[in-house]
Order: sequence, then structure tokens, then C-alpha cells
Amino acid sequence: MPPTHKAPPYYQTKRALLRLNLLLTSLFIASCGGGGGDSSDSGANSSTSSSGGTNVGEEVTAGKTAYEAGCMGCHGAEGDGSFPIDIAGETVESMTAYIRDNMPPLEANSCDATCAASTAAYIFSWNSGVGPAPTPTPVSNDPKPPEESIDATPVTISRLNRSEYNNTVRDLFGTSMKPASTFPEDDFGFGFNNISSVLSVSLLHLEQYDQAARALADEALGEPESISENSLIFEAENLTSAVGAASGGNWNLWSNGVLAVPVNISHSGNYEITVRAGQTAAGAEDAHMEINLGNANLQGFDVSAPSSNMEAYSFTTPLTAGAVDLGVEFTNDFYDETVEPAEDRNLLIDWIEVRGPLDAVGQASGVNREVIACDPAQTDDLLGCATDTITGFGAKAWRRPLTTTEIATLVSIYQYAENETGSFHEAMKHTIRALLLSPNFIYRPEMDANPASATPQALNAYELASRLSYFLWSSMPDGELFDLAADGTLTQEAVLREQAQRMLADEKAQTLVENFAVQWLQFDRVLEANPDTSLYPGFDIELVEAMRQETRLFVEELIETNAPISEIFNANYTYLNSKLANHYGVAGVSSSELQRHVWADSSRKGIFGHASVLTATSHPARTSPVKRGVWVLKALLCDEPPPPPAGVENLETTAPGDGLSTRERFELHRNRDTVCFACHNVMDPIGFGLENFNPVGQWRTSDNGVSIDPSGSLPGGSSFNSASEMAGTLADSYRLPMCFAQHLTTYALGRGVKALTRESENPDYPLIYDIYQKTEANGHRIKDIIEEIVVSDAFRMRRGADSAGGTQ
Amino acid sequence: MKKPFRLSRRAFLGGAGATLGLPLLEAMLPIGKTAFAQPANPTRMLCYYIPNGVHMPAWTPSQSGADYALTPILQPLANFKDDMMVISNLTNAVANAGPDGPGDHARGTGSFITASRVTKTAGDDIHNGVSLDQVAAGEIGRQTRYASIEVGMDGGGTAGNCDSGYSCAYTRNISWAGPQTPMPKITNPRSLYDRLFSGLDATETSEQSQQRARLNQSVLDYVLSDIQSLQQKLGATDRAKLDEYFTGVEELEHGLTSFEAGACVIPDRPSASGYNVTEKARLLADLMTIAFQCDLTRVQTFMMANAASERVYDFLGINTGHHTISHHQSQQANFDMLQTIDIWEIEQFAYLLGNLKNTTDAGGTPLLDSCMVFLSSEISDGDWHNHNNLPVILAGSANGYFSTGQHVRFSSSKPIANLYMSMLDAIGAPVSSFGDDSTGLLESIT
Repeated sequence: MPPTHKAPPYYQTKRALLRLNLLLTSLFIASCGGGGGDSSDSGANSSTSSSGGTNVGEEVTAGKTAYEAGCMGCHGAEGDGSFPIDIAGETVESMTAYIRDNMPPLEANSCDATCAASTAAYIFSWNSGVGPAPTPTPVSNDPKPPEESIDATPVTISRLNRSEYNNTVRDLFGTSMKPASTFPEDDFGFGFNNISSVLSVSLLHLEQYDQAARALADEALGEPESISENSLIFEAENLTSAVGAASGGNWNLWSNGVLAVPVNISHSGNYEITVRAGQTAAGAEDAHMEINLGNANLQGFDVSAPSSNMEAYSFTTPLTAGAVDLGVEFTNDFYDETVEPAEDRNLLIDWIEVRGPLDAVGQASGVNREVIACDPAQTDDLLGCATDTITGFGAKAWRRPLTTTEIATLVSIYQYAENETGSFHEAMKHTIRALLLSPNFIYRPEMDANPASATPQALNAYELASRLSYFLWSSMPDGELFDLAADGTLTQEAVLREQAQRMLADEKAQTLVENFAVQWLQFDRVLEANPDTSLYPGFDIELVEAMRQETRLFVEELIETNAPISEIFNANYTYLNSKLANHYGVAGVSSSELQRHVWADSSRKGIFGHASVLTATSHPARTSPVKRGVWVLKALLCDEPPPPPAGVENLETTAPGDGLSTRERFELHRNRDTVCFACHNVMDPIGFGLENFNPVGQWRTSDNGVSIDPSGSLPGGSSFNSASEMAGTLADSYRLPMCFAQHLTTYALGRGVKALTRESENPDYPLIYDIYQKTEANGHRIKDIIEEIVVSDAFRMRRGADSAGGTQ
Repeated sequence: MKKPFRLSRRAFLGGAGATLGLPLLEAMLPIGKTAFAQPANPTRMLCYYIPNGVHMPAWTPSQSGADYALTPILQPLANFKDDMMVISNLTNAVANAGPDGPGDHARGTGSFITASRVTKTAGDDIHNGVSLDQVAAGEIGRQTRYASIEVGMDGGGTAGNCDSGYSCAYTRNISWAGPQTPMPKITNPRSLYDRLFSGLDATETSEQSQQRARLNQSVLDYVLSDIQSLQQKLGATDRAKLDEYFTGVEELEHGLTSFEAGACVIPDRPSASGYNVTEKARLLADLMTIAFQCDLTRVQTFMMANAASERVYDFLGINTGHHTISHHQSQQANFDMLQTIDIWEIEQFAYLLGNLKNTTDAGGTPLLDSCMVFLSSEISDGDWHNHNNLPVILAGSANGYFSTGQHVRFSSSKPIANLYMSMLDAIGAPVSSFGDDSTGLLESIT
């Protein structure tokens, strides 16, 4: 018998936490790398001298070289890599033969007999090697209690990411500007783009921060003196509409509806409005575009330019200073699917420019009183006003009161600029620019009384307010949080709970869907999916938008109703519009807006029925049981299997066999290839359970002429006959609430939280276990989990890094 | 003070491709900053990254030396055969798997021009060496408005799972200013244009210009001191994070208070969107050329895509993602598709080289002569993920430093870090070693 590829290395380690981890993770990965049946210690130490004749030391040295060059990538430094080596029951001779004939996979025979013998000798020179095969644990088992206490591990100073920056200036200035949309993209860590250790800063960031700070300051101060012509350009893809979607740098209005253009007009006067637009032609008419001001129509155009060669459509109109709601409306949608290909008239908008006032005369616009402490036209004490602004606005911008020294320094900055320019307005802009470029705005500093100490300490109330608001709102604290920080009561557990509930009820908590859930479930990857439209002709951007919206609304309801997290598998409802309902084969939904829909049966219940996820985890022309299985393991069970080694990656792209279903081809492949079997035996059955859903998430009963067999079994023996049965079993697993809490705590703290990972250490297991336990009585409800995260020591405390990296 | 002649901004930017000579641009310098003598043809560096390796059998010429025949993938470079070198048998061994296992795309891209092993992490403690371009920028960057410019085709994806346990920082950035400081790239032509030409406001009076400089100084000095006082209250990790910020502010100060531009042709401002992949690659190539020509920077990097890109080249008749195809499993159909994609990539590279060759430097010579344009990928073969025998082109002689017009094939593998040492030597930023495994300047290429 050839050596089998045994369990991952942490089964063999001896540290307490790791033993614990073994029990936890054995659930799904027992057979990943498993298959190694019996074990004994006999093979481990007995064979180092068995290669007669030759100099053992030299052979082992040669073997080490060969091993490191050809084996270590997959098998790790000492057989403890992604594909562990088990030498139980083997001899150097049997191992030699096995290596010679089988290794490396796909390049067998490249290591000849001499090479194989020395490699085997080297492998047998290790003192480790054999551990007991783990026992699979049923999925619904309870988690084991931790043996360590919760640690407030260090969190690196957090920089505002793009979403946080935009939301913060929205709340700080009341502006509709989204300056961070052009900032460099934030890098991801642990699946999220708010991981502080990964968020770096470069010159490019600074240039953009400076431009944003100046634009925000300009807007806040208005234009007191000379009024000059100004051009505001709105890229359509950055705007929003109830109809259509951003598409290739344009906004595609694919049925009748309005693209809203909120404009702040600084001065009344005549303005030239230009819309660059094009159509996809269909039917007898050109696409008709109306430009509206509020409910009034300003101008209409027949857009004859094709979307591939858009044109600018201009007209001039008087506008009054203030917030103005411009709208670009598509009024004559046309769709005919009786012809092949279907005819579809759409209106695409590239950008909208508002230029003026063309007759630049008029009076100064006022300052933004949310920012500036006085009306400068009404006061004699401009220095006092500046000081009050620095004190008041500064405390909001920096999310804490400024010290007297800080205020004095900023007042001197103001005075310097006032002296230079002779203008209160210019000097105030200068000061606001300084406030917004300060690291106290760009970052969220948390101070340690003693930075060198690794002893955890409670955050102060302002720091806590920021953690809370950036977790639940991706934005700065509001007035109520600032008040509770000022009197210190926010640090009380009851107050924290109350505030968490209040904030979750606020619409700003929508960021938990848009920022957290989208990254957690990765369903926006449907945007990158590329289904073969010759097989799935109904697949278009409109459908993709409905898919994305379905999952968003679904998660939003789960959060809003404080559903048990198991609902993600068990919910009997979803959200559909006519397009998506038609895609799913559901009759009776006519609305173009998505609306709640209750399923008549359980076949499509929960997230497993969502086309967004099902499409994102498929290939263009067929499903991928592997991608689907990995998605479930990673997102919902925190048990991501190791990636395949180089050279065997994407074996599944091999050409389909004649007359075989996807499942049949995979089973052939799994049985044939022992290297792959260990992990695929865990991933694939989950994917097989979803085989009733085709590559774009439609229901099917056969694949390539073969009836779908959606049955299978999960590690530990639970068997299922359908996706819904599998969903029911997974919904009961302790790993689901713990995994959800792990992802959410990672997002809440902006650092990698490790409780269920396959890594060798899971220092956050005690924290996540504690949250699990405290929410268990009520069925692990989502808001309950959020609340327990918020009141946990990890959230309310911090500590510096100790050089040893250990825990206190 | 006598008011000097000033250009209006409209005159400056108006008109398609108005040719502007050196004297005009000097008139636009901020007052108080003296233009120091520009070399007519300063040496420039551009590092060009293509993802997923290439189909090597259709890449490597069979002959070496000057009389080699171009292979199918190299065919688009026929016009530049005398201006470039093909170099075979270079290895970036720091990207080999070793104990870190899978993740060759991330590892090979992170170390693409750092030749330093990156720390395997999904988020905590990202760590890389300083990249070739940033070493050069550190040495010569203060002579231009921008020490370096980073450009790419693709921004981030929709999800944060990058490559086998490696942070996306490694898969999206080849330029690294410090161990934890990747240099993000600009991926929109209009944004790049605006960055290159912003602040060239010639309508200001000298008094306004000087005042603006003083106010900039005031704000940025304040921010620098604010960073320092904050750092005093923070632990070591946070202090290091703020060091990045401090450096960024210093560089911003440099960019806002001093810059000069060489003789160049200002193109029209590109639209923000509405072009296909090929058009975008060419627009960016145009702007990278102008950035050199105007002497706004002498160091640039370009990423044709991010690591393990799954771009679908449907306009080439290929409807499967690039990375998926690159796992070719020795199937001819996959080889054919890879070759098609590789040729397209080299055509875009050739477009850039054509730009550089057809644009004249201040001294009247082709811009390309002053450049070294390095092209390679994070791996060699897409299926094997190997980091040896990388596909490498070095175009431009860097003002005569390199002996172009040959295929250099080393009989035994050489560290690619040695090439990087030579490139730094060529640009006037010599180092005694580079990355983890350099052994000296690369032979046979000068």
C-alpha cells in the first residue's frame, strides 16, 4: 500500500490550544488529508539506518536537497504542509518505490530511483511522522470549551478606508461629495478591506487627501467674494437610480426611470447643462431623454447616438442657488423578446456637466453653519469665531475634544493664513484643510497609557464611541454617542448595549450589509462571472443586478429581524422582481422592484437558492462543485481547505467526458487521484448537493442528459438527499454561529480574528466561544451576536504588542 | 516685482496636442523655484508586468546572440529588435514555494521587482523588500516632480480573497516603498492625466504663487509636527504606520512646492471612461510616455493586470479567464489561447516602445534610448508556477549602458536580482546587493 496523505500538521502538535483546535477542526477536515487509516509508532523512528551500503549522511543530505526542491511546496518542511506525509506502515523501500512511481503528481518518474531513495531516506530521518487519525465529529456537535482566557490582542492604528472616509465627511459636513471614490483602492486582509495592518498610505493617498480636504473646505466656506464660472461634472456610474445599473463607466437606464443628479448650486444664474449619452437602438424610435428639475421638465432630447459613440447633449437654463435635484429620465423603453435576438432599447449616460453661472454675478453664498461657528457677516469677533470653530468642529472631525495646546496651535495656523490672505474665509479653509490632513482625522488613534506594556486596558469613552460607530455605521459617532462619551457613561455595559440597539435601528447600519455582508459572502463576485450566453441567453446586467439585490435584501432582513443565523440556510423567503422570478421560474411577480417572496416549498430555501452565489461559484458553461463547496466551507463554516498544489490546480477544467454529468466526472476524478481525494472528498459532496442549480442558479433535474443526484454525506456521517436537507444539517452546526462571529469580529476590530481556522494557532477561540455561549439560549440571533461582540473585552479594551507575541 | 510672462491655463491645455517647448514650461514654474539644469536625456526606468506567465515554447528564441529569429509571441517587437534584449534563464528564486506552499502568483508578484521573499499572511504583518523602482526613486526621485508613478489596468476586485492565504497587497502591487508600504497604482487614464498635469496653473500672479507656496508649507509643516507629536504617544507598530504617513506628507510637500517639466507635448484630457481594454492600455502608454517626456518622473511601473488575472479576452475570441487557461495541462487548445493572449500583451508593449521611440527627448534623440523598459511576469509557465527561466525583455539601452540587439541566454540560471542591480547601476543608483539573492551585476548585457 502506498503511503497515504495524512491529516494536517496541527493534529500532531502538542500545545494545548492546538489540541483544542484539533477537536474543533476535525469536523470537516477529518477526511481531508485523511484516508490514512491505522497508525502505529513503528514506522517513525525505525528506519533511518535502513539504506545499507551508501553513506547515510550523504544520502540524507542529497535527499534534503531533492525534497526541498520538489516536495516541500506541498508537503511542508517536515511532511507537515498542506499535504502531510504519513509514513506509518512504510519502509524506506516502499516509500522509495512510491515516490519514484507517483511523485510529483503529473510529473511522475521525474525523480528517478536514486533521487527517490535519497528523498525517502531524508523523510525517514525526521523524528516526527505519525499521529493518530482524527475521528470525524458529527456536524451538530457542541464546540469544546476553551482552555485559555480571552485576550484583547493588539490592533494596529486604523486608517479610514474609502467607504469610511466618504461616510465620515457626509456626517461631518452634510456634503453630498464622495471624495474617497477616487482614492486608491483599499487592500484586503482576511477578506475585508478595513483591516488596519493592511491599510497603508502613499504619496498618491496624500495627494487625494489634500484635494479632498481643500474641496470640502471650499464647499463649507461658500464663495464670499468673486464668483467665477464653475464646472461640476458627475460621472453617471457614481450616481444612483432605482432603475438600471452602473455599466462600463456609464449608467445604463434599461427601463423607464430617472437617474438622479443632486447638485449644489453655489450661485443663482444661467447654467449650461450637458449630458453625454447614447442609446442601444431598438424599435422605431430613438431613446428619448428628458432633463428634469425636481418634478418640472426642462428639456427633451432624442438620443440618436449609439452607446458605442456617445454624444453630448446641451442646453442652457436658469438655476437658483442651493441644493438642486436634476434628473435624467428615460421615457420610451422598448423591449421585444419575440424576435431573436431580443430587441432592447436602453439609454446610457456617461456624464452630466453643470457649468456656470454663465453670467457670473450675484451675492456670496453663506458658510456651512454645521462647520463654521458663526455667520461671519454678522460678527465682529472673527478670531473668536475661528477659535470656536476649531474647538467645536475640530472635536467632531477628530472624534474627541482637542487639548488646549492643539487648539492654540490651530488658532495660530488660522492667524498665519489670515495674515497672509486678509480673508476669514481663506484662513478658515486653510485651517479646515489642516484639520482634515491631520493624522487625527485620517486615522483613529487609540492611546496606550504605556505603549510598551502588553497589559490590556480599557479604551476611553471616545475611542469606544469610534469603534462602535465605525463597526455599525462605517462612519463617525453622532451627537448622542459624543454626549455619552463626554460624560463617560458609554463605557457602561448596559449603555453600550442600548446604543448598539439604537444604532442598528438607524439606516446608517445598512453598511453592515454593504460593507460587511458583501465582503463576507462575496456574492458580488457574480459581477465577475462570465456565463456562456449562448447557453444562458437571459443572462444580462439587469439580471445580475437583481441577483445582487436579492442577496442584499435577504441579509438586510436577517439583520433587521434579528433572525437566528441558522436562517441563512433555513429561511423560506427571499426577494424577487419580475426578471429574477422569471429566471427562477416563479410566476406572478410583475414588479421591477424586488419584493419579498415566500417559497411554496423548501427546494430553494436559504442562501443556497440565491443565484448570485450559485453563479459566482460556477464556470461559464457548467457548475463547479469545488468552488461551491469551498465557498460554503470558507464563508459559512470557516473551514477553508488548503489550495491545491502547483501543477494540479484546476484539474477540473479537463474536457467533459461523453455522456457524463458534472458529478460523474468529478467522482471519477476523485476516485482516481489519491492526491486530490483527501480534500475533494470534503468539498465536492457539498457542491454535489447543489447540483440541482445550474451555472446561473436555475433549477434543473438533469445535467448532460443524466439525472441529477443531489444526495451525499457530510463528514461525520450525516447524509442528505437534497440541497435543502444539507442546508438543514449545516444550519444546526455549531460552526455556523461561531464562523459568523469570527467574520463579524474580524470586521468589527479590523484585525484577523482566528478561532476556527486551519492555522496552527487560533488565539481568538476563547473570545468566539464566549460569544457563542452567550447567544446560545436564544438561538444565536444576529443582533445578539453583534451586541456580545460590542460588549466583549476584545472590543472594549486594547493592549500594546509585546515583543514575545504571547498572551497575557 | 516685475510680473513675469505667464501662460493662461486655457492656452496651455487647449488644443489637441499643442507642442510646447522648454521655454514656455519654464515660464510656468512656481516663482521662487529655480529650474536647475536638466540633462537633455536623463536615464529612465519602466517596469512592465504581465500576469500568469507566458507560453514559453512560443516565446524563447532558439538562437542566442545578435542573429536570433523572433518567435511568434515576440513578433510584434520586430521594429525594436535592435533596441532590446531578450534574456533567458533568469530566476526569481525567492518566489519558490519552500515551506509556504501554494500562492505562487501572489509570491511571484509581490517579489516581482523586490526579489525579496514576502511574508505569507492574509493580513497581519505583511512584509516585503523595497522594490527596484523605489530604490531608484529614492536616489533620483527628488529631481522630478514625482519620484515615481505607478500605473495599472485593474483596480481591486469585488472580494478580498487573493491567492492561497496571501494578502491582496501582494497580488495588486509590484512597487513597494517599504516593507509594509505598497505603492497603489492609478488605473484610470483621466486620473493619471490629472495627476500629471495638475497644479500647472499659469494664471496666477507671482505674488499669488508665492503665497500659495507659503500656505502649502504652513499646512504641511503643521501636519508633520502633528504626526510627530501623535507618534510619541503610540506604540512601535502604530508609530511605524504613521511613518508611512509622514513620508507621504513630505513627498506631497515636494510635489506641491517644486517641480519642473521638460519639453513635451500635452495630449488631450482623456475621458473618464468609455474605452475598451486595448484602448485603455494605449491611453495609459501615451500618458506614461508623456510623463517621461515632460520629465515629470523618471521611474514608472505598469501592471497589465493583477496577479492571476482572470480577464476574459472575448475580443480575441477567448471566453475563458486568462488564469484558468494558463493552467493549460499541456492541451494544445489552451496553448493556442495563451499564445493569442501573449501576443496581444506584447503588442501593447510594442505600442509603448513605439511611443518611446517616436518621441524625441529634449536632446533630440528618441526617448527610448534613454530608457530601460523591463518586462516580465510573476511566473514562467502557468501550469507549473515556476519562477525560473522567466520571460524577460529589457528594451532601451539606458543611454548606452546596455548592449541591446541580442538574445542573451545564460547556460546556468542567474538571479534576476542581478539584472535589477545592473538596472540600478544604469540609472545612477548603484547598490552592493539587491533583494535576497543577488550575487553581483549581471554579465553579458552591457
